[in-house]
Amino acid sequence: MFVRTQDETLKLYETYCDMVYRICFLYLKNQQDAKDAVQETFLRLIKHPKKFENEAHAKSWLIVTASNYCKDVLKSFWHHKQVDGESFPLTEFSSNKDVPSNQELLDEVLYAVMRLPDQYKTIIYLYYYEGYQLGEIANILHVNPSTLRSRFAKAKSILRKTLQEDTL
Amino acid sequence: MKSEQDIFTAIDSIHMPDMDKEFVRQKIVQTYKDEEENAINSHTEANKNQNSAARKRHIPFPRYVLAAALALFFVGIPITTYAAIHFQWFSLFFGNATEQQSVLKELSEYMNTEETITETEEYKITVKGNLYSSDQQLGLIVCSIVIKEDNDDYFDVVNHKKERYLSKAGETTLPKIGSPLVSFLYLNKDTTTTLYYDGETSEDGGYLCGLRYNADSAPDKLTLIRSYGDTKRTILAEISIPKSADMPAATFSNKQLTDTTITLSPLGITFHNMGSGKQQLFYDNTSDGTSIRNTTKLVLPDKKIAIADISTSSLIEDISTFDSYQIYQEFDELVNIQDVAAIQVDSTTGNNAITFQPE
Repeated sequence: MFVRTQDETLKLYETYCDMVYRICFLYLKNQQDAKDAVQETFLRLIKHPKKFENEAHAKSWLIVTASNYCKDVLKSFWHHKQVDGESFPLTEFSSNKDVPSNQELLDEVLYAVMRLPDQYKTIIYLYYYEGYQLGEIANILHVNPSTLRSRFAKAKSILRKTLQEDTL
Repeated sequence: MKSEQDIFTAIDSIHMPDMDKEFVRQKIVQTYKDEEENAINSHTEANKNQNSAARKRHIPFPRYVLAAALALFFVGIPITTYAAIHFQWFSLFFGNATEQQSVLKELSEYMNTEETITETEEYKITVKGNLYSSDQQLGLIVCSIVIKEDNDDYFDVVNHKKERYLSKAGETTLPKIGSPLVSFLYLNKDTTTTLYYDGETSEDGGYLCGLRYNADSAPDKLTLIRSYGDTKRTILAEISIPKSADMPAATFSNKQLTDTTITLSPLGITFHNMGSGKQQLFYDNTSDGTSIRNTTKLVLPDKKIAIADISTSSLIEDISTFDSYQIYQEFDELVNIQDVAAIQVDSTTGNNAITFQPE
């Protein structure tokens, strides 16, 4: 039997499915694969044999599991189905009903994030979207803090270069 | 103006469609339902077993012992004797039975003893040997890989000429020793294929991998690469490869099909046809390379081995001209070709079995 009840799992799903979807989408760059990745992540959650200490622990586990799964998928894509992020319009991957007025700018920013090397995407997502501090991100991703700081700096530098902007 | 807020807003514009959300939700509910049904079924099964045990007549102790002793004598001994003869259990005591379990020992019968080792603080790669069948133009490099540094980077070991992804390491992605790394390997029909020997490690604890190559992709060295994401890759080391040792091969033919020959080595099997094409083999739908591979059996004195059961998933089919073809199929375990008395190619319908005898 599973260690979590259906209600517990569904509660986590309702709370974090959008978060997991965003991470998966940043990696996989299309809706179908992102949906499959969300499904796989939560199926792994169901089968995960340990209880989480608290909600933050569950959230961290979901972030790491989703990222790792996406990396695995990308590896299998390597030879078969290399997806070019630039070929997707925003409407392809977003179902946001309230399309903001500065759509082009957001497209450009999103493309820039999606084009980052894989190891930087989760860091950028956690820092800018989830609002984690670098130390917390290092804990979540089990990465040495100094390594994480240098990766973050590198990611920012790539973003700055891509967006030709100095405000980041 | 692009700022941190823009990144937030851009990411925030990604939303999981409601339909997909509901789909995954249903999948979660279904998984729990299936688990519940499984639990009920196993409980019912357990009850049945208990009831059937309870229904059995109680046999007084002395009769029970006598019945067991008689059963052991009249049934157990003949079965044990037959199994011992059939499966050659005596070799456990008098022969080298454990040798079959070790890929390295199997390989060492053919390989040079020369090894090349490349080691840093992060990794150690030992190229154990290099085998090549000149009759088939197929080769196999055996190496062990120890990834010492625990991080989330990917390591690729690639054939210098034809790049193939071989192995990766990462904090949660590194498969435990013994788990099938082969699922992470990508096999390609026209280039090198790779293989992880599941369940066996080298003496230094490394993953034991086979790197396959053919004549066109024969490498003079391997390259270890660290990958960062999709694009950035750093060459960490180039590993020299020992000179190849030649593998024995045997040729099989059929008197009726003079244009077709089969070459068999411990590494793989090759079909050659220089006549009127593969249709010559069969007149039903067994005409493509995969069907031929799936219906071919090695005939040993005491059993038949289906090629599909001992093969890598990669089939290398090379149709070189309009009316000739060659098919290579690599084995994922070494085959002792001296034991093979014949090769039988069945059709998919089973009506046109053809037997090839050794020349």
